[in-house]
Amino acid sequence: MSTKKIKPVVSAIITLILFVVVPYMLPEYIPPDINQFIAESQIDLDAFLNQIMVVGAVTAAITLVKGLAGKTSPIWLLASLAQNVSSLVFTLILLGAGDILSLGLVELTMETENATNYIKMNTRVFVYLSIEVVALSMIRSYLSWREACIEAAPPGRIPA
Amino acid sequence: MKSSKILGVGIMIIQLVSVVGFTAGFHTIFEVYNTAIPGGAGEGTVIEMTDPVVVPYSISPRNHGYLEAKLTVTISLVAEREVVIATESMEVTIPPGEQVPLDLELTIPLSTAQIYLGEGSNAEWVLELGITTLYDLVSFSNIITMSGAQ
Repeated sequence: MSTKKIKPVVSAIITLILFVVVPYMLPEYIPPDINQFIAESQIDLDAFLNQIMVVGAVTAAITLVKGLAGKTSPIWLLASLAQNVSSLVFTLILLGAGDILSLGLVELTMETENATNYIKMNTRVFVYLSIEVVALSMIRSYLSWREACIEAAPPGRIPA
Repeated sequence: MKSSKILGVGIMIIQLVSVVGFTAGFHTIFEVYNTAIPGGAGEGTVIEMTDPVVVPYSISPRNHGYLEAKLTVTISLVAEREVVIATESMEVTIPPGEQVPLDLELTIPLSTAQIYLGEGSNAEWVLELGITTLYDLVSFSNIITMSGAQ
């Protein structure tokens, strides 16, 4: 296997380890007090980790496809755009504590014996920044692909 | 230089600013919150039934963070989860590294207090702590509701 092919495989394996294996094993290592806090705050930890793992697996697959496709190939461009979208989805899951549609507005209610604790965190500004970064990254992907096509074209020929 | 490379540098700067802003913002919020939250959630506080009844609430939040924080504290006595019997609010701006004392006094007429602070009352104390930082772009609020009966 050439080095050009080893790199995407290694990247995909690292992505799988970080976003699938680690979240899968995480519940075993959460300290009991944090576990109790999560249970009281009504966060569905399993659903949250499942979302991360699904996005992680998809991202790993996209990373592999992108790495194996040539930089002038339309598949490379599509994989690159999909990778940007998956990074946005990942950010939305993290900032929304598992609720993508909350767009960074996290609301938790914790009930104890004689008190109710309601927590609201507004991190929408980072969601907007992430959307901006993803939009710019998509433009960058297109520019990179276009530049690669121009470089690969025979001298004197303008690519379509 | 290729346009994609220039755009890449711009993207990296935005990402860096986001990470620094997120970390500094939440560090500031939790540092202020940790010193603003009352220990024991008011347990052991004896309310003297004078006329009017004055319920003091004093904290000295300190901002160990790197950004200025705005803290809003509201203390209320609420009946039936909706009817506000008494409320008092105060807002302070805490610069980084500073400690700002905050003293609130909730004043309730004795006759009202006897109705709502007695045994079997369904009134509740509501304490709201709101913290905003990073030029009001990031906010955190915590509303604690406790039984009002003595």
